[in-house]
Amino acid sequence: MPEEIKKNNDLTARTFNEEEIITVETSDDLISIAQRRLDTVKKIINIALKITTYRDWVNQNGNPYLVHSGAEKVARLFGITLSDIKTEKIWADDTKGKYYIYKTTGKAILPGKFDSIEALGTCSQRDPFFGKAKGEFLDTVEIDETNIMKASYSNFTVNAITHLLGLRNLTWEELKDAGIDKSKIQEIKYQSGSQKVKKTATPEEVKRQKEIWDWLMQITAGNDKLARERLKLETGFQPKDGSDFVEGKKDPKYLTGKWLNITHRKIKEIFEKQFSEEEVEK
Amino acid sequence: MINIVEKLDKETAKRIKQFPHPNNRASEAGHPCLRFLILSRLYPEKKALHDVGLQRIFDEGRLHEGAILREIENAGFKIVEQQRPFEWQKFQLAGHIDAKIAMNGQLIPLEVKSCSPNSFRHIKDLEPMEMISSRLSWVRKYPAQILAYMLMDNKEEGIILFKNKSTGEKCQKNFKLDYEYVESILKKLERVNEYVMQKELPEVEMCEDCKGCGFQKTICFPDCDYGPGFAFLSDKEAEEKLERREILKPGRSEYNQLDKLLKDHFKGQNVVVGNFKIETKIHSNRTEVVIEKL
Repeated sequence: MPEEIKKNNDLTARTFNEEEIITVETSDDLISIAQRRLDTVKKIINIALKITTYRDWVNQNGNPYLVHSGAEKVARLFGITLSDIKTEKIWADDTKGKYYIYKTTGKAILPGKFDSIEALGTCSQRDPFFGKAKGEFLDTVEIDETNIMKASYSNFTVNAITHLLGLRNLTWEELKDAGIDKSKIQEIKYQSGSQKVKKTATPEEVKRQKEIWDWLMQITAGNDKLARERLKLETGFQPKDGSDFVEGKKDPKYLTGKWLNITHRKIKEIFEKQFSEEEVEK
Repeated sequence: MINIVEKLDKETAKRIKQFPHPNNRASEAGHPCLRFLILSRLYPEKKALHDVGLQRIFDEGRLHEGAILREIENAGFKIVEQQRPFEWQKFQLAGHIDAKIAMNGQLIPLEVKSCSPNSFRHIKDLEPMEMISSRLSWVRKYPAQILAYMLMDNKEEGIILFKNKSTGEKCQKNFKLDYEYVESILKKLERVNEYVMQKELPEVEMCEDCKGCGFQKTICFPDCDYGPGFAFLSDKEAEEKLERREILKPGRSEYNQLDKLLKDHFKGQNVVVGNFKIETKIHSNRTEVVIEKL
């Protein structure tokens, strides 16, 4: 039961077990709450950033990303609890074969217990750090699986804490305001090629990817370079929402889902048309 | 230039291994977490490997163990049955005892442990059975280990000999069978065996050993509480004082340096320099230099 009711300007604030709960009575109240919340969020972000150092961040593909050590510092500041943590091993396939992914889920809760979120963390056997050496994917037996498990857990922790506090999509400007020097932050760049393969292809999709490549090789009379260029040409597109043109792919292994289906249909049509014309010519 | 340290660390890293064991291990019998003991038997492969730092400590321990046993022999004691394996099928309990030492016509189980200077000081002050409530988690497991060996060997007495790795100092802890404690350990092992037989796991119960446990983050997920957090206060007066304190902070160290330099320089003198009077006051237990602006 509420213990106390007090009027604070237009807002009604009640306390329940010493926690203040603000209730809305008019539309003006709603604006006040939104404004108050916005200010609080800004303050939270600024304070959270100030307790981190450049060592708690990485520059990942040009964006600042808080790492595990930094997330834990922030969690201690705000008294966060992580609970109901579970992990699951999922098997997947891609053009290189079968591989596993660890998925960690759980809750992140603020001390008042009013704010909580569900979060997810993952790490796959294809992770460039654990699953690759000298440009090649390692065999399952060559990988210490517990490293993948721990990385999935760390990923969950960072996601849970940053999502709960709204520490996502931060800008370099915000880090600079908190006194963090971008030039000192470790940079992580994704290499081109297979490391960019993030989406998981189903066995059916793998089959379609192979068909596309077979047709392309026949269309270009076995010229690998031409086949790649043709695929790039056929898979590039302008999104309907007006965002930037999406460059095409030179290898079918990068295509999954709707993109793969459209490309499959397109290349099949080209192939059938070309070879039916050749038949006619003969 | 060659990097010897790097090469040595690589060699150390090669020795990092798991040793899955079908039985309960005497060295872990005193572990407080039931779930850990069950996981160690059911899913040893899910235990994260330790790092190079801990492997170095294990390697050092082995070096010292051999050295201590040689030292004991050289001192005229008779050491037998080194690394003798034990197994107690009823409790699915197994282990290797470091040695037995001949004493008054009896062979007494002997464990040797090397430890850091800090741990050594701590252990030295403890009575043997006080170790079960030590602040150091690994020390808490020692009594269960030696008592298990004593039980399996049907002996009433056992010894753990500790060596300070830095100074070489030794201390000896003599154990007598503590039936109440031993019974609690055996009951715990029976529960472990039941769970293992059913291939089941008990609920997660947080304990001090969760931190750094090889199963945490891989297969065991205790809730992670980052503490009560900090209170965010709106106290303008305190904030202003804190800001002022921050402004004055850079001057403090320079002031302290100059103050010390000047007082050391004018110690024993009574002088006037410009607008400043510097006086040396002799007290019964100290000499004070007072600087005053005129």
